[in-house]
Amino acid sequence: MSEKAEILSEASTFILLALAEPLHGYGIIKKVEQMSDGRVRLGPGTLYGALTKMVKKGWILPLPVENGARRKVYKLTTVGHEQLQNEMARLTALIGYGEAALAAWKDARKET
Amino acid sequence: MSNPETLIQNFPWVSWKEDDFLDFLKSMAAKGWVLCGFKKQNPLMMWRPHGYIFKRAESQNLEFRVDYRPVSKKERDTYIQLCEDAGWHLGCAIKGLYVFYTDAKKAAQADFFSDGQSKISKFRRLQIRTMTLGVILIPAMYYLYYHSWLSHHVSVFMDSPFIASMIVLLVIFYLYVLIRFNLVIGRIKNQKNAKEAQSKSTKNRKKWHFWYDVVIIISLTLALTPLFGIWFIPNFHWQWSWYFQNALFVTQWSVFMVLFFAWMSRQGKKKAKKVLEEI
Repeated sequence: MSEKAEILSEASTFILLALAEPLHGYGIIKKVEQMSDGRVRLGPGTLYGALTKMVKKGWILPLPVENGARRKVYKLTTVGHEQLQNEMARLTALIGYGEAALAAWKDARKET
Repeated sequence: MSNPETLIQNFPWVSWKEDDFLDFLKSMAAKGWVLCGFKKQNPLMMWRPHGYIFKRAESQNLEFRVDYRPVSKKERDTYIQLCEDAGWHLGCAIKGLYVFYTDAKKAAQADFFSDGQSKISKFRRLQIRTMTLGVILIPAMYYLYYHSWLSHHVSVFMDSPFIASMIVLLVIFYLYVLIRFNLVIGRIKNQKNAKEAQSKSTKNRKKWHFWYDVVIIISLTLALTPLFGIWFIPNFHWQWSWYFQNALFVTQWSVFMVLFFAWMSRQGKKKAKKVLEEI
């Protein structure tokens, strides 16, 4: 792990997940909507802010485009991939704790 | 009646209070005038409200959003393209301030900002932009009046309550801006259901807004006046008479400032009403 793991927001997590293949801005919006069955609809303001932040942190990389092209295509970097893995590990752990706690709660209810 | 294709209207608004402006644009669109550009103004007339250009169109139910992004020209194109792709059309753009619009039905499904965090960072960017001038200006004025060669040669700078109160007033103004932005941000942080919170806050704000301003500014004045004496004036001795004199002097300037803001927002509302009745 090169950097400290950060807790990602829902929007950032979905953007990183969508970037399994290189995509441009609107492609990310469509993919995220598809992935979440229409629940998460990223607004362009939110998406653009998140993209610039992640480019600055080096999690994603805008691919070089020819002059005059107005759409930028983004690619996940290894750092970004690490972040995503950390986030997934964190969420899996959280689910583990949750299930254990719920099971304990069920047992306690049975005994009384 | 003549039927012109374009129409230019001023609308004064401040960046921490965009709702009135957005409502105005919405009602203009309902009347068949859609925002299409920004009129460049004479830079010497900075205090005048900005001019917005409207284009004749069909009556539509549109939803407008303001965003602030100080980015390079290339990035700007990418950003506008992204918004266009997502169905938000550019109304006008000036110095990093963008106004986008889309159909009201579409906006209800997918808003321009889909989470609170990005809304908050927009207001933070605006806050930084507004505060920058004060952060430069206040120490510069302080240095000029109390520590530079000018102050050693022109004794009026040291003694004048007018100049002293101007600095305090600037400090109060920028603290006021800081507080106003923080109130807006706090409101966004606290809202659970975005739409509900918005309609609620708008109603409350209209009723109480002016009195919030009065309370914030007068308490800042009363609190800052003694601090000003202690920090700025060499060999300062505390006296209640000094405090009341200075506090009164600064308070009258602050009251002018409050009245100015109240006048500006009133002016905007009156203007909107007049324009919407005429067209």
